[in-house]
Amino acid sequence: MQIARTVLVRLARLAGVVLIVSFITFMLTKLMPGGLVNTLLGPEASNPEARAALEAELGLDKPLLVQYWDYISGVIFRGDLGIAYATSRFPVWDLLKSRLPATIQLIVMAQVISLVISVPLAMLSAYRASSATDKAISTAAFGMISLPSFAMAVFLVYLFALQLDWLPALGFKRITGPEGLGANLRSVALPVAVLTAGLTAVYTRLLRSDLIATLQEDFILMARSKGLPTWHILLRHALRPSSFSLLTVFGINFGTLIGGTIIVEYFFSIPGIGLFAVESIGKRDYLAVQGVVLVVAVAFVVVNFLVDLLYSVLDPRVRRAGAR
Amino acid sequence: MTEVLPAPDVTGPSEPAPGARRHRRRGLGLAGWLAAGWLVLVTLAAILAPVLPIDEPGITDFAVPNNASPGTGGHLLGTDHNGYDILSRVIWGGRVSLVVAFGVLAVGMTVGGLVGVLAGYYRGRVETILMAIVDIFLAFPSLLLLIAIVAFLGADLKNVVLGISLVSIPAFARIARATTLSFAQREFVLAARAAGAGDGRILTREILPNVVLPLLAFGLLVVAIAIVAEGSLAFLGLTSPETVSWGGMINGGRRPLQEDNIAHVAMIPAFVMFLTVLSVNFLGDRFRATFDVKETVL
Repeated sequence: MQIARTVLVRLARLAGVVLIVSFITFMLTKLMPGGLVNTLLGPEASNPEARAALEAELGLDKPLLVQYWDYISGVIFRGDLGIAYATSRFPVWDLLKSRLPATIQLIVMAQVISLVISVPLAMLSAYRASSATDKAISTAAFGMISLPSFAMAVFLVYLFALQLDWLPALGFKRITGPEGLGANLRSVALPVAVLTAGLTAVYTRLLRSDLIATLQEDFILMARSKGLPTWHILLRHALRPSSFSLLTVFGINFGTLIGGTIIVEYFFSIPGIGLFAVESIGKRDYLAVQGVVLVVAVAFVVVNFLVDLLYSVLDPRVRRAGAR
Repeated sequence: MTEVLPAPDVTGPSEPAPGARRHRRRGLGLAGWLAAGWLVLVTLAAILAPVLPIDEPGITDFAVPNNASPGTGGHLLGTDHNGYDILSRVIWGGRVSLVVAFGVLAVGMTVGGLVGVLAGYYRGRVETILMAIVDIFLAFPSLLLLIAIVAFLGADLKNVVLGISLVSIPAFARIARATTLSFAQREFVLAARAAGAGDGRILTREILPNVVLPLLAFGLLVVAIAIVAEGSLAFLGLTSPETVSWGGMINGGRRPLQEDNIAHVAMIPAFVMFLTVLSVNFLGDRFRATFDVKETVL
């Protein structure tokens, strides 16, 4: 019962955050210079009658709070994010749906690959802290953190597309396209590599320092004195209590990655959410911008909620604290 | 790194373990001096750009083809897709990074520091409200927020600096609050209060001097992130095209790189930016080690 209540309270708070974010975005879009009416009317914008007619048609003559209510109630009760008036005039939700797969593929691949790389690297680093291997790994990670993703993209394209000619320098092939999975993977290889490099550096540094702390604990000494093999101690004893910060940042990164994919999608011309956001902002398409922000905020909040739940799986103490 | 601003999880300065400070290496070391030297070079070149014997950054040289390789026709680093001299644009682009760095330090650190110190000192409802606002800001992909702010307010350099500062305020506030919390309980604050000092005097004379240095050390990290953030905006073509910026140069070099197999137009600014961010991060790391500001989330 208690757990169900905690979950409910947390869900309500998350819904609150999403509502506030949507409200702030809504108000921000009202600050847009020129605004939608100018974009739509073009040279006609100086005609007050045409302006008034269009504003009435779009509901822009109502008070701001009423406008916000119209918008958010449409979203909640009908799943209607409005129409992308300034660009394609398609429903925003349909446009977002067509852009989501590419972004999700990039984020999921980058997150999974960087975890797979960084966990063994961090173990190697932490088990022999201050060794030459550890120093090399730590230095490389530090360098990666200082490498902006667009600079990384330039270097990788130079090496793998120009010099070696292994991978395409830009573009995106859908899995469902005529060339299938192979072409799809080749087209996302460099973008995913750019995202993975930065993430791997962050995860490795984080897990390394937590592992080093855990390895000083008494139960590790105990395990060692029992004669357990090193890999067993690292994997079964040290990894789990060391993975909390990693898990937190892993969750947060689903949000920050949306920022990361904006750059990468733009650089490699990948039709994802990030490129959609840049295009919509450039064309002052405010309903499209609101739609992107709302979807991103919901995804971000939901992932963090799931991460919170995962804590209790990883750490029995959290589970008991929740039950109390 | 992909993110614009980190969500710092700070525990504030802790008591150093006995003997820990004695073992710490003094001085900057070779890498530290190289980093400092590079930053001094970039800064000096940026400040002196108008008087240096370099080409105008916005004038096409018709004597050489566009995208001329480094060394052609007196262009040490070649020319870009518009026939502009790359060396000159790299130097002028440094000015923007400099303005962004100091602007964000001035605005973000002042406002964020103030919010954090007040929240950490007064606690109670002030703290709850301020930190709730901070959390809402942190719960938001900051590059997207930044893009929105700049797109809505207009893309001149002043707004870019303001936007990045605004996004950096929550992180500064977190650090300042954590540091203040740890100092507000210390004996010298109690002593000052016993001697009859009011809140204003304690804040300015006892707390603030202790908060400034850790905040500044964290500030260097934010400077690196701010330079990348401005670079990202310029790279996405969202800042004013007249402003010469490294990110804008990389964006301009994207098509030569991806479609015409010409690498230097994008490679040179990318490399300059990498060296600069690396240097700032490296020095920041050293300072943070000295002032013992912990952040688990980078």
